[in-house]
Amino acid sequence: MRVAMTLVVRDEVDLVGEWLRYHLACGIDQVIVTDHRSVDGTSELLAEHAGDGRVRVIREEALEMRQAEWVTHMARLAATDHGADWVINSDADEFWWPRDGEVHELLGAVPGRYGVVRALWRQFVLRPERPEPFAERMTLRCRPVADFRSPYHAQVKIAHRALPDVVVSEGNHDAFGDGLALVREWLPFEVLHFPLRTEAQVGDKFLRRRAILGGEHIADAIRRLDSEGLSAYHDAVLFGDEEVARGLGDGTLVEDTRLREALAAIDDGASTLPAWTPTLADDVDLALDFQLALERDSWVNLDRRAAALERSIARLEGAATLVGAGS
Amino acid sequence: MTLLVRDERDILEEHLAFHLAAGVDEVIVTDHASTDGTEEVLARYERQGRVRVLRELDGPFRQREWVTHMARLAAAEHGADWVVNGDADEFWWPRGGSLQEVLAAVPRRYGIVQSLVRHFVPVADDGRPFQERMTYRLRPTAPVNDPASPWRPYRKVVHRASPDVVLVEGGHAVRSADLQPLRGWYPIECLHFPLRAPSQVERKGRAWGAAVEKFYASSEVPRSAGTAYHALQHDAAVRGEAESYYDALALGPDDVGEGVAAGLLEEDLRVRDALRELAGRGEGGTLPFPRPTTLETASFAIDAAVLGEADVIRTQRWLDDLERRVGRLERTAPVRIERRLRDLARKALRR
Repeated sequence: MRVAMTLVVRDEVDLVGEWLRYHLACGIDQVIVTDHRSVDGTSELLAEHAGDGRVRVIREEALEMRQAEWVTHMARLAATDHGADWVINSDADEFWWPRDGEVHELLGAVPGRYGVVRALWRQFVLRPERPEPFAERMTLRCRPVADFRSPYHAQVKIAHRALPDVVVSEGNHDAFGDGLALVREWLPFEVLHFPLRTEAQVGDKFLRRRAILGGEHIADAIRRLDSEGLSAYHDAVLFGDEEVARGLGDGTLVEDTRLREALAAIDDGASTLPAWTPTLADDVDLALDFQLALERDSWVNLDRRAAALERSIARLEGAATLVGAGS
Repeated sequence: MTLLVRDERDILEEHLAFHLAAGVDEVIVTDHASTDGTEEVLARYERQGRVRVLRELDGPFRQREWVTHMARLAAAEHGADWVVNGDADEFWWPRGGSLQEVLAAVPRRYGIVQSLVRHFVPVADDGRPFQERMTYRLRPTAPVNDPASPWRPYRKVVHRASPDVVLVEGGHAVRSADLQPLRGWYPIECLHFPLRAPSQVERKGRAWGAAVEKFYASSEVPRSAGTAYHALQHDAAVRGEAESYYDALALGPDDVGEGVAAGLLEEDLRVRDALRELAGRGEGGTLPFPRPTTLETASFAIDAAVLGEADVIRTQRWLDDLERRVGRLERTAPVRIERRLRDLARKALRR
């Protein structure tokens, strides 16, 4: 079985090297990258891997970002040119962490009649700038936020079976095609997500996306950048030391050094990820983060409505019995 | 744990021994007029002190009322923190820790966790105990919503002990304003052995089926869709056709081979091995519950996905049914009177 990953990248030199090293150590067989007009050294970094048959780079010079189109194209290439069985569509700030198994083992366990599995964003918060790389200093995760305008909102990403005619949605949250039925309540991967890393990167990230119809968090960030300015926005989404102490105290922030340790092991020469077995506490922690994303599933709403109706029936029946007994 | 039993002699002892070794502190049992020796097993466990028995006379099967009563007793009189509402044919298997450990991991603000029911298929009755014979589990491939199928996927729930909890028929849901469900995580599997031998179908179908019929005859509660298969079992027993009913469902060795090859059945020796271990050990002790492997977890996730698909359809049907009931209730006179009284009271208060 072969697993491919697609990546759209633009000027993310602060983590694209880590991204490649990490996912190749995970056992990903083929990485297809669309490099969108990078000028910060990202392209050179990608070129260093040109000799590695596992990395294919497509240079894209279009002015505007056409993310869904490019990802769909790469996901199809994975099927037609690279013999992939599964495709993971990723961004450069996402590190796909396999839970309790190796990537091929996890995806190989999905029976043929299912074709999409979910992964949950685990949100690492912005910390004050220091010289160390992001993974060294960003080791705190927050609970996802329901409000879509927050950069730390709850979200699922997907991995899907490779199909020559697959369509991947904007933001890589859905994939459409024959047989792509969803395994809804299983999270074989966590996506360790580092969306905001430095003030300069925050500015670039959102200004670059001004022209696209992004999610609500992008629109909201752009509006605030325009009205408040970059440093005010940066300070608003930053977790300072006081906030961190409070968050660790009340459990709204969690220390998570998995990526840092994995990267250290890889840099020490490990060719695979260090073994990691989740505990019951890890499972519960993940389930908690999953609640908000599940809320958006239609049946949860149906179930809620049914529960409310049952309560009102109980009340109505109780009233009928009371009045009946009294008369 | 609460347990509502009727004529369960072939499985009750195993059930109690298993759960008392899996982390259950106390079992509250309602015995609904058993006559097959179930009474003696219960009396023996009652004397040992970890089982409390409530006895109901032969009459309508008032499941919701009895289970709700037991669940409330667990909170009010037994100091329970969590309650599992079980049936005798269910083995609640915690994933990666004892029942106490997995439930202790649930954060305070959540009060309900879901359990996925996994069905074991019947095989010919060669006289050995059920757990030695029934070692194949159904792997659902598509959502079965046929109410007459014993193999419909469904979930049950485990909830925090609460003195005012209300159980829904069959223990599939809990109604309580202050218990929030933790979704998307199934720390406990419910391993289900519903059909075990023709004699069990005969015994259970007859007495219990008759009590169920009595209940619906004497109650306003509409028959829930899930009972169609119980009705078939009852009919078969009454007509003296329990044997052929069972034989039609039981799998022979060839069927099992084909089922495994087609991916519809999976060998599952967990209950057998746990019961062997307990039998070899005598009294007391606890069972180990290792963390499931990746493959086991994936297989479990697929069962959950099938259930999820079934859920959507079933919840839609359930909503239709509830809407009709609310509509009917709202049209009845007492409710109109009650509403008028409430309006009057509100006006009086405002003055």
